[in-house]
Amino acid sequence: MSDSTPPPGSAADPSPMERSGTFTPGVIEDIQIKAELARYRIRGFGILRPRTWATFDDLTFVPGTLTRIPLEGYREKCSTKTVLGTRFASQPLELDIPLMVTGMSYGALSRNAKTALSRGARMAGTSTTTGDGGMLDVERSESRAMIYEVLPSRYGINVQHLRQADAIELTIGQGAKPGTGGLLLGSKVSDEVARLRDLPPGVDQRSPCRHPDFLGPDDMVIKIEELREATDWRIPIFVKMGASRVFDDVRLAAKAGADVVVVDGMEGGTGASPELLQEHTGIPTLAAVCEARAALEDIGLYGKVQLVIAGGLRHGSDCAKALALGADACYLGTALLIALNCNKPIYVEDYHAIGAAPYACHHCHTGRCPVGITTQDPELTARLEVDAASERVASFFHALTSEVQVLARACGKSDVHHLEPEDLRALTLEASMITGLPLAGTNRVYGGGPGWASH
Amino acid sequence: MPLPATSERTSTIDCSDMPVRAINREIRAALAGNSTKIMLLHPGARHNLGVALPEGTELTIDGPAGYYVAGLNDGATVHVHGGVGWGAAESMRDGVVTIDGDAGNAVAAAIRDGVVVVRGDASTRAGIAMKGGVLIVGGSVGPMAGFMMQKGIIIICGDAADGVADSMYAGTVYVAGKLGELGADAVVEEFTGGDRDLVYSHLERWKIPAPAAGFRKLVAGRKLWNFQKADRHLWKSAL
Amino acid sequence: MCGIVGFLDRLDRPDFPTGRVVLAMLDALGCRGPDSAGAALLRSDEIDGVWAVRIAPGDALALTRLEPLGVVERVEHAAGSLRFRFRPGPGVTPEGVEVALGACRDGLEVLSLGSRIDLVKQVGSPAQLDAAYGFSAWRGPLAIGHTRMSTESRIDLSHSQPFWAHGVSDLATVHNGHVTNYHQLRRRYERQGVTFYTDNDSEVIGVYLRDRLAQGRSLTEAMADSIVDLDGAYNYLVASAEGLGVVRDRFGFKPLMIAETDAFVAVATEEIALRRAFPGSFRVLEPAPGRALFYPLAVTPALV
Repeated sequence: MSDSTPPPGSAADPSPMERSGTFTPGVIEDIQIKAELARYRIRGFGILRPRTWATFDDLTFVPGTLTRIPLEGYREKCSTKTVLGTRFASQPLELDIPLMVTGMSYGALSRNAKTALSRGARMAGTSTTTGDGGMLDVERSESRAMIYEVLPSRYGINVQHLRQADAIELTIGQGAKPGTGGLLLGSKVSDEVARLRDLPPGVDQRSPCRHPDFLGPDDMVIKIEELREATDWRIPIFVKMGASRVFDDVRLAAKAGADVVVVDGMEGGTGASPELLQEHTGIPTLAAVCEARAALEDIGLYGKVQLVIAGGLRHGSDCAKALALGADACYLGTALLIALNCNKPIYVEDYHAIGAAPYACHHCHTGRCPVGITTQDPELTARLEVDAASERVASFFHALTSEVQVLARACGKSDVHHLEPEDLRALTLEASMITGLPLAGTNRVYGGGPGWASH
Repeated sequence: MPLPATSERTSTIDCSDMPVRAINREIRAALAGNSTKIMLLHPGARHNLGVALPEGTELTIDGPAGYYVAGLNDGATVHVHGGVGWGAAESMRDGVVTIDGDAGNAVAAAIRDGVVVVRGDASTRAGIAMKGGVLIVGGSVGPMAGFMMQKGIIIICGDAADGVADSMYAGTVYVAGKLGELGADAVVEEFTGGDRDLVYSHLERWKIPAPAAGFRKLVAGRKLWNFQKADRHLWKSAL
Repeated sequence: MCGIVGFLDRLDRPDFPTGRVVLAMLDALGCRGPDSAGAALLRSDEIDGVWAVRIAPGDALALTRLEPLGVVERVEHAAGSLRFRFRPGPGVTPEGVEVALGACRDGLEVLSLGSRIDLVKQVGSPAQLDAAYGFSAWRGPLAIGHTRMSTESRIDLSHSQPFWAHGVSDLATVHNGHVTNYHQLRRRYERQGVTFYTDNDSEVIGVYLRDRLAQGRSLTEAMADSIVDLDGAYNYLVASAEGLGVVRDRFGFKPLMIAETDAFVAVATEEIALRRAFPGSFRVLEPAPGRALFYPLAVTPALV
């Protein structure tokens, strides 16, 4: 479907003097597309508009200098070992690094992409997550640790796969579009994807926004118990949510019995979703981590229930700051797809053919991914070579881990999990207000943190 | 229905003062000890009884069960001599679950195969998101039966409340009693001889009295498969 | 998000252990709501021309403020609350009593007022409620109870349930779920001068019923109206001097089971509570969504 955002500057270009600041060329084009389309616009990738809100970039580390002694890089080891699910599970998830692959479905992604993520994660000593389409055999065999997602749609749910999982993630929502279900347009519902999801091939698949058999946190208590009984209280139960009313939602997930709470911020990606949800719903990841930590502290479960943060994390400093603010681990999604080749300037003519361009492609929903990641087309999927792609995933994880370590060492920490909010300063007033960290150059906190303690 | 006679291979567990975790552990221990027939006494509508049971297990629950009884069933035969709470047999891979009483919300939710029989009434969202298998309800069903169903069949001997067969991808819903307002994109199709053979063989197989009235057959109109601008009015109520 | 229960005796048994069965039901629902517990009960005996009032905290000094309005009698302290009888002077309204007592946000709260109702609640489990008030020994033909998992508002006494429908004698509600147009409704009522005592969306149910009653609707009509006017996911129960009300939202989002026998009507969020509290075999039904049911005291129920 002709359903993509037009390339910038494609609209008629009258004199800037005559342009409306309200009805900009982009807005005019948007209205006229919808006047043809008769429904909301759909696209993939995630939020596109410029980030005018406070982000992790608005924080800076204050490394050891004289008051504190930094660690050397060679012999003075900085541990990255990460353990999740220590509350109720007899076999918590043990990972070499605090970075993990977030849930992305086979269907949204190609088999090659899922395979490369699994193998790359294994090489890096970390976990992968299934996604809204069931577990691929190759995904299980290539993964060291497999998190099995139980989503509202229940596509591909198989108790025999559940038993092979190293953790279960009960997904309530995702950061790109909290409050709504997944979307997979017909061009990606191949025979194989349809078979795994029990759908007619080629349909526009719309997943439900709610689980079919529980509604609300009080019923979720019983659902979590069911999943524990099905796995004999062996593996951790994660509860994943899009960042929305984070403070209350995180408290409820923890109260309902989650071992691990996953909060996915507004900058999180998606294979396909109504565009307006990506742009106009949810809470930014920086704010989400602060609220989530405050929530767990409020009910006395911080440190007992682990916190995983997701949503547009790009590099080691994003991850290190999330850890310092209270996360136990970080999920990566879009950044890993980019490591796979997403938006790379190769097959440039194929980007143009779908109305996109390298570095500005958000056409995951079309199933015409020029680099073979978010597609089910055999010719396109072949463009992602699994061995090389797995190497890139592993290398990227190593690069990010080394970045987190270098920041932790600089702050005098022999364990990345020893990073704390006091290792940071705010660079902007807004970041100070959100995080409760002093504005750099002052000893004052402008705003006092997430501000939920008065609850 | 009379309870099956207790044989030497049957393990009996009295749930009276037991937490769910202990009950399920005893079931697993009995299975490990080569019992395949297990009887639970005094279940007291406890939740999560007999979840994820393996093929070959025959579990009888002598009384009402709570949420998710026989949930994630992996091929077992489970008989509940009473009513059940929400999500009975949810996400079943295969197996048979028979319920003598009434069923709560979302019975047989997202099952992929196997058979669920409810001899009484079923509440809201019976057979929601079914991905295969068969759901038979001897009585009536509440609103939204078969919502977003993907495959399989639902046989309703009594009435179906509003929203029946709403937004189905595929699958078939048969209703003998009164039909409420049809769900989005549900259409009535001819009840053929083949349908008759299928429906009545299931009723006979599971000893459900055939209803006096004949069955209507509901299927997906397929207008929600792919968005068409011409159907925008239909989509307004569906999206 | 919570567990709710209701009980109505149909045999007019003065010795029926209503408090005990309500606590047994609440206890069975404990996992749904670890934050607080409470119950409202209708006593068998009506006290003519006298109100029974319970306030918290148990500030006896506040009672002196009632002197101009009537006569305070038989003051009893219990677990941080205070119950007394109040013989109102001519023209004194329940609201007038609240105002005189200084009931307001974060301060003193009138937990219940009426000729038959009594209401207790506190942070903690049903067992703690019993320890504080000896609720299991309470007798009466009708009771509702609540165990709370707080969602968006605070965990403290006044945010716990049941809620007395402030200003309406002998009317209380318990609620499981959330009202998504709560703020809109609240602002509308506040413009009309209504006082809200908490930030809990459940409080608006009593305010709504009171408003409809004031407009001349019967309680059963008001309950039916609420299915259209209250948006969101909810089951709520109403305890009134006339009987027990049961309301389910139009989508049936929250679970609710009803057992109806010749001897009693019992309602609970989950069947497990009914089986725990009542021996013997009886059928348990999930009422259809979008329905308001009313069970009059000692009369067969009417479908609204």
